[in-house]
Amino acid sequence: MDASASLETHGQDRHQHEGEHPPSPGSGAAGEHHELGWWRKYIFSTDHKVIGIQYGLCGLVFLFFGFSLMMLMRWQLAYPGQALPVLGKWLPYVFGPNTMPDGKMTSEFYNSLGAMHGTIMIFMGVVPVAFAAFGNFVVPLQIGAPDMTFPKVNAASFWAFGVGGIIMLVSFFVPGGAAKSGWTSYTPLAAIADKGDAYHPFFNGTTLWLVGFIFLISSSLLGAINFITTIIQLRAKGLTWMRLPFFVWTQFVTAFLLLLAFPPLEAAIVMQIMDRVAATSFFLPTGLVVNGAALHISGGGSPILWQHLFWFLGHPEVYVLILPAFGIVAEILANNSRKPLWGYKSIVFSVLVIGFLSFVVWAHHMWLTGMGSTVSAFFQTTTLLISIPSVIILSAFFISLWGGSIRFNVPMLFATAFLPMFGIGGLTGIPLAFNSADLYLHDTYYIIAHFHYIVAPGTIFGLFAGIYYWYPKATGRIMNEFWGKVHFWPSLICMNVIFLPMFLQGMLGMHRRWYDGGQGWTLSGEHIWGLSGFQWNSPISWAAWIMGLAQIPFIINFFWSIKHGKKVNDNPWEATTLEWTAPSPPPHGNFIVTPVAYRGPYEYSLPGRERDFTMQNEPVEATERTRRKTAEPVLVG
Amino acid sequence: MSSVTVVLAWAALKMRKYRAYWWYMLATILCGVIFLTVKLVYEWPQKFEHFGAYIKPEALEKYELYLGNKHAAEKGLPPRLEISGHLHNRQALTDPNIKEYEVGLDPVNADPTNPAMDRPHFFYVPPTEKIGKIEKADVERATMFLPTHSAYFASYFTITGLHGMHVLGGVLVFIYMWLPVSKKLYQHNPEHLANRVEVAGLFWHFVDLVWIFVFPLFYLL
Repeated sequence: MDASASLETHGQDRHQHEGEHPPSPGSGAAGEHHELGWWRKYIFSTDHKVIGIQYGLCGLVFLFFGFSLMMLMRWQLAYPGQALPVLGKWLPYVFGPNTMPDGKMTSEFYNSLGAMHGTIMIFMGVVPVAFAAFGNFVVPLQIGAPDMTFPKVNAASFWAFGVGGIIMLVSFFVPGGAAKSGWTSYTPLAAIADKGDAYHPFFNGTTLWLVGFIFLISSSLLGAINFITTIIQLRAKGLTWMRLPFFVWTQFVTAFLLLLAFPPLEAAIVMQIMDRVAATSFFLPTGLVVNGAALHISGGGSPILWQHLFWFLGHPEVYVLILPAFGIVAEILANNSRKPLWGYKSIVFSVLVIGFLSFVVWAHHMWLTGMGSTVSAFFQTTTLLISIPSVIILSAFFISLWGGSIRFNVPMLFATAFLPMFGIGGLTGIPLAFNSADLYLHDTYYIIAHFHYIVAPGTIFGLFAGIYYWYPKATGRIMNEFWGKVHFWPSLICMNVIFLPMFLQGMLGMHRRWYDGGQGWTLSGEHIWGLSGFQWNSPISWAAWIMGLAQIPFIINFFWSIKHGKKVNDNPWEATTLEWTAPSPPPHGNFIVTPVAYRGPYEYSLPGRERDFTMQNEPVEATERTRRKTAEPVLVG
Repeated sequence: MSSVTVVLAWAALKMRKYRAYWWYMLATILCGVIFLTVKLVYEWPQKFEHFGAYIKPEALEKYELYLGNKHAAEKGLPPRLEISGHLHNRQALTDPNIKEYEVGLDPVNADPTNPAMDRPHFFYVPPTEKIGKIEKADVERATMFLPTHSAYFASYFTITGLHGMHVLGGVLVFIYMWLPVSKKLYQHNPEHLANRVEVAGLFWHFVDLVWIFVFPLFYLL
């Protein structure tokens, strides 16, 4: 219904549809505006800015929740078998008596926490914030559009996400607890988990996980279609493809990744639901024996098929996580180094190449399945190829800093911290790309450290940078600078204390799914700075808990600044892109004057200008035109 | 056929003939409902009522009378491993004390050497009166024709089930567009309603197109 209702281009139904349909570019902002009630305005809104903020708040809450699960697990890893002080008494009342009897975590609960940490962080935290929240709020503003192309589809996307999120949360409270088979839900383990007398045949952790996923996927698909259409159709006059801010490019590619990668997983999830609920054997092999008894199934399925389908989503998903962060960091670097982004065209093409290559690298997650050396050689090659465009982008970012007059405000701190953190994450991935090295490192803490360097101090720092950067646009006020720095420095230090030792633990052979933190296993016995692989768990855990505390200044700052932050003008960062021509916060329909773009996105420090930034909607003057003929082409963008 | 009527409904709206639209829409809805009824009342229960037992390899000889594998080998056909039909003692599925299944054999197992049985039939052929007895000890796996029975039924129920849910969704949307609320919208803004019907119709065509692939895959091959 939503799709059918929002495709109409004539908004004659004045009571409901006034202003929801974006006028064609050039016809001005939403003219006559019918005031909506509180519920329609803030809860069931179709305005891209409100939906973006809703996504952002929900995503941040989920991020913190997912992080809290990990903080619980870190206790078990550092002090296995000991009762958790204070909280240990109360948690059984929340999650049920069997999860933490006497404050000691059971292995089932540990597995639940692990699986749900991954799921929540990726699909309910980072994707909603990076793609849906920033994409929704910033992209239409940056391209000078009054709203998304399909506002109702946009709302449907958010509410599908809401339903999916609620189902995932509810799964903690069904008998037996949430899904326990890892965030990848590998078969046949996932197909036989959570079954038996103690579990409901349908309302059990793993099945609810699958059902919740269907909603999350549908939400992403609706969002992706909307983004692609909006970016193609609703760009302001004069905003050609090569004048798009880099952030819009990254969102565009991300939307394609979601659109093409998610449907195979959705199909696979339906098949796994059938395996669990209707006892089919899509992913179950012939002769499967569980606890010494052969299963009464037809067999003939392939567990590896699930892995292929999962990682066909899973790998593009990695780029869904990182590309928006690239975009945010690019905007902030150019803005705060007061220089055009170096190599704009080459990084745009690099992003497109990443988008393409990310579909042909998925099996490097499956070296241990014994796919055969031919297949491995292919995926090894593509995996190494994809590092080339990533390195081009990162190098371009570093070169952009060269010779700039850099302002170290809070967004810039996070953005610059992103660069070395992503660099560490990326470079440590190269050994994993090689089949032979990965056979040893696979499923150890090394790989945990590798991908967390990408997504935690990488993507999440990018997201924090974006929140500090666009906060004035959303509220008209700026977040407190001092408390921003109090948030930044402990976070940066703790991130590294958490994840650097994990590389060492992994190389000592510590497996990522050990419930006792490696206490009961003999590792290679080497000590690093006097601590064995297991003993490193406790400094890591303490750093994780301190990092949890370090988020408190951010949370307080975020809400306090809505009412009490310093008031700023429409363009506090003196930026060039179109979103800063709109009022802060932008009204319904966004722009007072429909913007027209006359130049590229990063015209900072243009010679012969009074100000060191030239906004995209400033017409090119006659004198400038003659000078441009001789000027460097990079200024034209 | 309902794809045609939905286009006619849309065309009627474009020509501002609400009455004709209403009838064409009704026809579309009825087509959808008939499709779902056939599926849920006739086709699926027929499968659920059907029984099949896979015979262990070492016992295949013993049931040569039902399987006709010598005949199959002569004809170059793959060996038959399954005996199917109507299960007369249904409690045998759950009661461990019952040692054998009594099956009203399917024609292919009742008369396995008949050349007419070499290929599967397109139209449903009911089980015969001939009773076959299969000892449980000789059976590898035996279930009713549920998704768990075999890879074929797993795919069949998954795909037709998903397709049926899409049909149901389309029918619900059409019903909404056919109810008196649509008349209100029509009087207010007929083009708005026409566009809604157009988009819903596109969805309907998509579901129809999927069926064009599903039907030969599961019913003809």
